[in-house]
Amino acid sequence: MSGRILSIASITLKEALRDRILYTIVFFSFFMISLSLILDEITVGQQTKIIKDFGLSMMSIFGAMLSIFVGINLLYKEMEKRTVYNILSKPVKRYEFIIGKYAGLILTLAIIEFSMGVILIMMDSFFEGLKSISIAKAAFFTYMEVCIITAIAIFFSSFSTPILSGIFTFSLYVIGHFLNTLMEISHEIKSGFVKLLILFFYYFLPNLENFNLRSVIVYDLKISPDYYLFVFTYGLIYIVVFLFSSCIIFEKRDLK
Amino acid sequence: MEVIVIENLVKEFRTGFMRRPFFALKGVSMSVEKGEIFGFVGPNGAGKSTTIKIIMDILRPTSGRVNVFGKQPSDISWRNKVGFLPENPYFYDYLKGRELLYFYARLLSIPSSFLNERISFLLNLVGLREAGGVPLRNYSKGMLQRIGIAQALLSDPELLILDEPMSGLDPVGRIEIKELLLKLKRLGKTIFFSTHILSDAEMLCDRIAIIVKGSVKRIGSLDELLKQKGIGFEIVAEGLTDVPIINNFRGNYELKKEGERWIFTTGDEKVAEGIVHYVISHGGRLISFGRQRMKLEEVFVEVMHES
Repeated sequence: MSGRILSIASITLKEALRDRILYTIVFFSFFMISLSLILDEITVGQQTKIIKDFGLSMMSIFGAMLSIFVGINLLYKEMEKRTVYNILSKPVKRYEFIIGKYAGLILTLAIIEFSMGVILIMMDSFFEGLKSISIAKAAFFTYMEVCIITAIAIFFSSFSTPILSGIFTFSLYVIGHFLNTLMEISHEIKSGFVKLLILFFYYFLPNLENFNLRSVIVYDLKISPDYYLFVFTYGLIYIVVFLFSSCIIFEKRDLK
Repeated sequence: MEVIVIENLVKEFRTGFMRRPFFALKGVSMSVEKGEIFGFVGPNGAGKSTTIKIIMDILRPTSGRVNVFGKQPSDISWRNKVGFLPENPYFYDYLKGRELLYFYARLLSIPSSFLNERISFLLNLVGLREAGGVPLRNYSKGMLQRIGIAQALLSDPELLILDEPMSGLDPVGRIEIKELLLKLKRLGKTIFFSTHILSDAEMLCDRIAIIVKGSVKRIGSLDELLKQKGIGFEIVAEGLTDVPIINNFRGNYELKKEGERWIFTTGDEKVAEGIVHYVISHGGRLISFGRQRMKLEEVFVEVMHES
């Protein structure tokens, strides 16, 4: 089983690395991370804080963009070009196909996020010396957020068109970052329905701000290892739920 | 032994904004026997590809039953025994021919010790020995069809399911693929293929099913299909002075004149013998005496008219 998933993952990685959109976004993200050097110059007294904050933000935003752009097309392209027919005519279960495609894409994103992280750590070490393990932690959780967004993109694309999947995934990405704010303003909202909706969002949708450790890193705050474990488990649960749902939907549908 | 069994297969699609029902298959039943070449013939849009996609578990039937080697389409345990070529196959075009076969071979869990040899053999077999190192984006349609057939043969399958295998091939390519299919039959493989090219079916198939608008209208061996319409005798003669009238068999034969030749046709062997006797005894010359056989095309046209 794992051999087949690995084969599909490696072919997905090969394909994703050929995607022009990917290179455009990667180039732009490297450019933006480099821009933090200029911002650092003009921000008196803040030194490396800007590099870390801005750099990690770019990793999160560009990682999310990549996962949405590539993720929503991942299954659609296979069905549109009918390459899926040949794969599923071999002894491959449909869920193995989904997991293989997902694994291939998050592997691609791991390479990109890792490269961005290395650049960021190098830039930071230039000013602070090499004590940037905290950046690596933040980068890891940024990557985990990207993995969740990829799972969401695959979930939507298992039953809808790339455009709709893109809109749905982007909406969840935005809502996922504003859940805390939504909860705060819900106290001032009178409509019971809207309050209920916000409560539903808060408890059921992934709160992507949990993966934002930028302020912890920038202000050098101490947090317990339990928190890391909590965020990791929280992220893992969402990935499993979205992938599991994608597999069930994909299992039942016609692959026209 | 039946390799594929299809019983009362129905497939309904919902189309358009109003989700109107459209029945692509309306109760298709047939079976494919081990070792035969079975042709699935029909015009475009008749339901050939839909049936094949249901067999391969790409589509799910609305109702009915399909078994392949006694198992359901969703059971992947039979996939190693089956090679499949979809209609107008499309492959990852950034891969080279050899890389593509290597990828599929890994999905089939073919041992790596045996792999290179197998891939070289297949590339050679389908006439792509030189093109194994060329990216698929540079392949012509015919070359894609050939690499598609090569990937279908990777696991040395017992059964081949081919959707329009001759499509996109030039005349030489078509002859080569036909020869390959006949060779595979001699090796004991079962071949189920769809086509709308009747001469291909006529030349290759042991049995044929004709599908029109989602229903199988005729099924059987070529002889059986043609017999349903009647196999007759044709006697060509010349040198007869008057219009030949054979009183004993009046109404049991047809007659037409082409130039100096009289052409008698009849479905009855005794009548045919009588005609030959008449020609000789009336000073005529017998030019030819043979079985008159309908072409599959004529049966097909008849089925289309009925539908």
